[in-house]
Amino acid sequence: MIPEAFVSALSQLTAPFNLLLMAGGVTIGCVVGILPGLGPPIAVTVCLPFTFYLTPIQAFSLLLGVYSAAVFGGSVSAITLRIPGTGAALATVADGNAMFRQGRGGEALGLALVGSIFGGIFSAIVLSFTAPFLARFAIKFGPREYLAVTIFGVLIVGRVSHGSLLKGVLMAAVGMFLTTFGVDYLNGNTRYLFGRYELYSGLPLIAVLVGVFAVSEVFMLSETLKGKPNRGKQRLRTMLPSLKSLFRMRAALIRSAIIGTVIGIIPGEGAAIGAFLSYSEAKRTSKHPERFGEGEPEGVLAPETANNSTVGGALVPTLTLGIPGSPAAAVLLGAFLIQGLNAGPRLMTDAPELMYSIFVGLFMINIMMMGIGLVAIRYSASVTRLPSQYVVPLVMLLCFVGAYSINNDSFSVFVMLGAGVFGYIVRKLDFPIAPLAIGFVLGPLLETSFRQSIMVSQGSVATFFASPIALSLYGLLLFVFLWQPVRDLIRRRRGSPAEEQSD
Amino acid sequence: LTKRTLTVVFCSVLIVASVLLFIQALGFEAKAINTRTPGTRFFPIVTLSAIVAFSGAVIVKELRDGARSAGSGGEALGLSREQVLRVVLVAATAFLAYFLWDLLGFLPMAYIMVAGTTIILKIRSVWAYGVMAVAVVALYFIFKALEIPLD
Repeated sequence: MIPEAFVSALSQLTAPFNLLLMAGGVTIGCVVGILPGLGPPIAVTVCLPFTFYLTPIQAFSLLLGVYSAAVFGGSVSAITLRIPGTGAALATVADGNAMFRQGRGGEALGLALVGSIFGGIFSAIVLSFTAPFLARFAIKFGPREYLAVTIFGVLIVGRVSHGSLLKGVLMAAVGMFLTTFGVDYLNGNTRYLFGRYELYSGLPLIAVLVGVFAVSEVFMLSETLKGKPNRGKQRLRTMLPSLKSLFRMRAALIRSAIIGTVIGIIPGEGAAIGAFLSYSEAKRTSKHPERFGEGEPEGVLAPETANNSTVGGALVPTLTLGIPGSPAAAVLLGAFLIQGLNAGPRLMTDAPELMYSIFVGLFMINIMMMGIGLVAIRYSASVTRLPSQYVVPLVMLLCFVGAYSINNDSFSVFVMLGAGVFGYIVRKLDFPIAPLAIGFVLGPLLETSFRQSIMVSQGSVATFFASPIALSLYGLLLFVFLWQPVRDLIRRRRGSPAEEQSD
Repeated sequence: LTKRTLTVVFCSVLIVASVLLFIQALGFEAKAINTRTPGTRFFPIVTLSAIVAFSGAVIVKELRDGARSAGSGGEALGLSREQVLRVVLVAATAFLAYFLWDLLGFLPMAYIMVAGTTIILKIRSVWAYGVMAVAVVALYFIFKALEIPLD
C-alpha cells in the first residue's frame, strides 16, 4: 500500500502540468517574498482561489512552492534594500546589507539561496521521517489528548508570538470566540446568527484568514507612499559559495537547520524566531563575533538556513495533528478544506498519496528554487524598484476574488473586509495576529474535544489528566510558562539581576 | 493619540462587546438533555470570559505602565492625518466595491475599486494603469475558465 502510494505520488508529481505548477508557485513566491511587506501567508492566501479546480496534489505543489519561495524571497530585499521582504528575513538585514554595501552583494545573495535550499531540504527530510511516525502515534489520540494538544498549541502561540503574552492570549481567545457562530455541531442548536442564514455554517475560515493576513497588510501598505527604492548601481548577480567555504561554515549550517526545524514544529511565528535564534547562536559560537553586523557571511547563512527550515518543521504538526505550525500553515489548512480533506493523523491513511507528494514535492521545490532563485535574483532589480503601494489594488482584488470563490457569495467578501479592518486595528496597537488566526483554526477542535471529554467522563474534569500524553503536555506547558519567572526569581534571590542574563 | 490610550479604548470596547454577547449566550442551551455534557452556551461563555479577563489585564498593565512613566503618554501611533485618511479611503473604496458587486457585476466593480485605490495612492504611472486594466480582465477570464462565476 505504502510503496504504491509513493509511486503514484511520484508519477503525479513529475507530470508536466504539476512541474509547471511547482515552477509557477516558486516564481510567484519569490516575487511576492521580494516585495517588502508581503510575506508567505499573503502569498499563499492570494493563490488559494486558484486551487479550487486542481487535484489535491496539484494544489499543494503550487502552494508549497509559493510558501517555500516566499520565505526565501524576503532575503533579496533585506540584502539589497535593507528592507526585509518578510519578518523571517529581519535577521539577515544587518550582515546581508553590510556585504551588499561592501560590493559583496552577489556573495550574500548566493549564501541566502544556498542556505535556504539546504534548510528546506533538511526540514523536508525531518518531515518525511517524523510525520508518518507522529501520525501513527496521534491516531490513538482521543478527545482528552486532543484537548491537551489544542490547549498547548493555543497557549504556545500566544507565548512565542511577538508582543506581550497577554495580548497574544487575548487574540487567541478572540479567534476562538469567532468560531462559535453558526450551528453547534454537537447538538444542532444555533448561536449568533444575527438573522443571516449565511452564518449557519459559521464564519468562513478562508475569508477570515485572507482578511486578517492579506487585507490588513493592504491597509498597512496604503499608509505610506513610497518612491522608487534606491539600491545603488550594483548589479544583482548571484555568486554561489564554494564547497570549501560551505564546509568551513558547516557547523552554522547544520545548527541553523536543526534550530529552524525544531522552532518550526512549535506552533507560532516560527520563521522569524528561528532566524533570530540561529543568528544569535552563530554569533555566540563564532570565533569572530565582533564581525557580525559588519558583513559576516555566517550572519546571512545562519538565519536564511533557519527560516527556510521552519517550512518543513511547521508542516509536522499541521499534517499530523491539524495544528498549524505557522500563519502560512494555517492558510494551508484552508487549502485542505477546499480539497474536502481534514489535516490530522488520519491524513496518512486517508490520503497517503498526498502525504508522500508533500514530502517529495518539498524536495523538488527546493531543488527548483536553485534555478528559479538565480533567475529571480537577477531580475529582482525591477521588482525591488516597484514602490510597495503599486501592489495594493491588485492584491485587494485578488483577496476579493479569493473570498468570493469560497461559496460563490458576497457574504464571504464582507467577512473578509471586516476581518481585515479588525486585523489592521490590532496590528497598529501591537497585538500579534498569528494567535488570532491560529485560535480561529483551533477553536472548533478545542470545543469539540472538551465537550466530548466531559461526555465520556460523565461530567468529571479529573479525566483530563488521566491520560499520560495529556498530562505530559500540561506539564510541558507549565514548564514553558513558569521556567522564566522561576529562573528570574532564583537569580534575584542569588543577587544577580535577571535582566543581565535574560534572553 | 498614543498607542496606550488607544489600546485601553480598544480593550474597553472588547469588554463591552463581550458582555453583550455573554448576555446573549445565556439564552443558549445550558446542558445537553440526559447528559452532564456542557451545552451550546459553554464555549461562548468560556471564550468571552477569557476575552473580558485578558482585556482587563491588558488595561491594568497599560495603566500601570502609564503611571510608572508619568509625564510621557507612551509611544505615539505614528500616523499622520493624511495617512489615516488614506487608509480610511482605501477601506471605504473596498466596502463600496463590495456593495457595487451585486449591483453592477464583477468587471465594473473591479475597475471602480482598482482605479479608486490607484488614485487614492497617487499612482501616476501609465504603465501601472495599463497593467491593472489587463490584470482585471485576465482574472475575470481565468475564473470563467475555471468555472467560478464572478458575476
